[in-house]
Amino acid sequence: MENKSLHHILRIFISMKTALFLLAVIILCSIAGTIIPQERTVTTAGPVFRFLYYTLNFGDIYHSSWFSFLLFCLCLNLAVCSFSRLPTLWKATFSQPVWPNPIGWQQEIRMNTSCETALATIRLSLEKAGFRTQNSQSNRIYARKGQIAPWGTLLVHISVLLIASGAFYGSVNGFRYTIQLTPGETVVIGSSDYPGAGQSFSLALKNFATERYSNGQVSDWISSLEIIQDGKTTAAQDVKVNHPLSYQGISFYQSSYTNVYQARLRFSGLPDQTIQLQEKQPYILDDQQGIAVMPVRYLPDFDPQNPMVSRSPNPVNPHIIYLTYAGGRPLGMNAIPMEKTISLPGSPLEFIFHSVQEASGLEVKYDPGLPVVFSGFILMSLAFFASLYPQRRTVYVEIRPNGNTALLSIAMFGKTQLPEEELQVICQSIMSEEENRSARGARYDKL
Amino acid sequence: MTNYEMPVIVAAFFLYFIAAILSISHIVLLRPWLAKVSRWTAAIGLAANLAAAVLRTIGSSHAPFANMYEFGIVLVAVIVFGYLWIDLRYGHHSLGAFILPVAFLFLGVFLLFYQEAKPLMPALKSNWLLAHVMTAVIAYGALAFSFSVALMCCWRRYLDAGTNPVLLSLIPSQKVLEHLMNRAIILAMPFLTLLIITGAVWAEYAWGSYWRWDPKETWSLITWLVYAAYLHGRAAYAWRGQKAVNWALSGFLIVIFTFIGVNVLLPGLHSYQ
Repeated sequence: MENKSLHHILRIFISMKTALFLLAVIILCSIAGTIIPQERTVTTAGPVFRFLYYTLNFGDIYHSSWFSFLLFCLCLNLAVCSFSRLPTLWKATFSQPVWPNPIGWQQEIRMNTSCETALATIRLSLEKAGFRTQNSQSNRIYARKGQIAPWGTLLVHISVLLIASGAFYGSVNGFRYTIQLTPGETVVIGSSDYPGAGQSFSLALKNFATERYSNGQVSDWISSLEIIQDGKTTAAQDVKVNHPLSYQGISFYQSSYTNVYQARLRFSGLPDQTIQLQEKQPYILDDQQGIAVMPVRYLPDFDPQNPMVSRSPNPVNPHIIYLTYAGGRPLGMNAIPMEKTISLPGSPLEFIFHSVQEASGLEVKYDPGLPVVFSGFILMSLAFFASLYPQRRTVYVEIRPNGNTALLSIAMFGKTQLPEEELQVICQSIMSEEENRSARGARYDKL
Repeated sequence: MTNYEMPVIVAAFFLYFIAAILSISHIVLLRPWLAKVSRWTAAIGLAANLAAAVLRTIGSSHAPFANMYEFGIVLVAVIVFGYLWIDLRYGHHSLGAFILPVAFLFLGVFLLFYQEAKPLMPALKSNWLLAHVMTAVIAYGALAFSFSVALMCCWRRYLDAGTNPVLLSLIPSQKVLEHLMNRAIILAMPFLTLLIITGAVWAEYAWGSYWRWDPKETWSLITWLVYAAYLHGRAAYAWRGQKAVNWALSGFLIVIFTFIGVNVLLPGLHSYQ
């Protein structure tokens, strides 16, 4: 009894209805993920929304455990459905045909020729139409085409499983983080926690440049990278967007760029203190009074008439746009050249921007699941064409002698909305092949 | 060259409009010459549309795939070319009354997103752009066709035995229309898959991640899942008639949202406006 109910539950789980239900739920959740702001901090919301957002992870739907569970269920359903269909599919492809009963015959045509000639003509006509023919008996022809289609469907399902398993393996065993380097800086890429990623090495940014078109628009960001291992340079490459560097399975991508600001803090009677700030990173001068300075943008060619946009990329009149805070609130935005002192009300400290340097933002990634995912992509691309483009059809022809003529009974099976029309086309092509054969024979007789 | 591009694409827009009106008039007034003139007008419109795409290519020094306007004018050209090919090949002249208005409206929407030609931004400087956008053009073009035919299916349903027999002879049967709609979706599906895959591979090279759940990626997946559900329903539960037509209609509305709505309402990594 228990076995029966378990079997019943299993049958429900692996059914197409469950697959369609899961697809519908995943579609709805995916839509929700594009509407509800993801990975944000919510402060002004009621307790219900906060519960949904944080506890049920509505704030990060695509990485939540319940969404992963839905995807897992769909994959499991796919896997079981696909493999349970395998024996039926095998049988349908490789077994001998079962002849339709007389009611199954859909059309009868007469050919003014002997049964043997009719057999050859039908075979030729069907083969021209892409069918593979075989005689199960001397007066019967059995022809099929598009047999690859259900195998293509199976392979599409397998490719989905490959992609999902590759993505899962990569997310568990890989890593990803972002680094920011200024020219001349070196960073150690440690991989001791990830044995597949090889030994650790140093990554040095030799140079970082922004290339521009003649109209001033950015053409490329170029990071000249060097890999140093055991004191030797083992790899070097200019990394651009779309041109990553790969070394020992770890890839480096040009992902962003920013400005790094060097500044000095001056307090009367004390030597200057040098600090480094990134763009839009506030520096708190006085925590108690909420006094801070934040560099907003570097303008190499400042235009007082249009203070937020640089006239050119050339350092003709370099200024820094900065924001000051007092009491934790923004006081105002100003532009200032290098080495000019910023005095803040309520603070004895003075702030001086000294220089600006471009920094390259690099994405560091190790994904051992990538080859599996890409294999899944290739398989899926090919399998979809194999699954959907060939039209799976089976044609049965029985030939009976009728005096000096041959009487054909023809049936066609396949998932089509226009079976009569398709059968008509097959019959017409048989008759036109017969006409061609007769014409050829007449020409031969003349010669 | 850009100076010539705008008048040429506007001319294409008006020619499609005239062709659509003529085509609708053909099935209302039942005058065969209207279909002929409509076809020629659409063909001249297509020539103007292609000329605008060529002028844009010369002006920007890259294939016209860098923004929604550029992609849109190529898509509309493919839709109209597909219609003219089917019209000439199969003689379904009445299809124009449903496809040409869709092409005309699409071009009107894309003209709203017109941008001056400019060089490619760093992320778009890749051969994957060509593969990605070409697959999108074929997939979305075929789905636009399926949508137009689905609309025609809905209209055909209301024509009863009392309808003018000349009109009935002009319009393919419900079965033929549904067959055409289904074939268009079947044509589109592998390209819809390639669209997502080429985008994923390209994103891997450009940003170091083949999938980020960016709104455009997510909605592409939603579109794919909707059509996957349609194919499953059709294969396993023999979805036919109005149910299949409804899927085709709603599927294409999702395509429109993925293609236009997401760019406008849900900006993400694909916002190259």
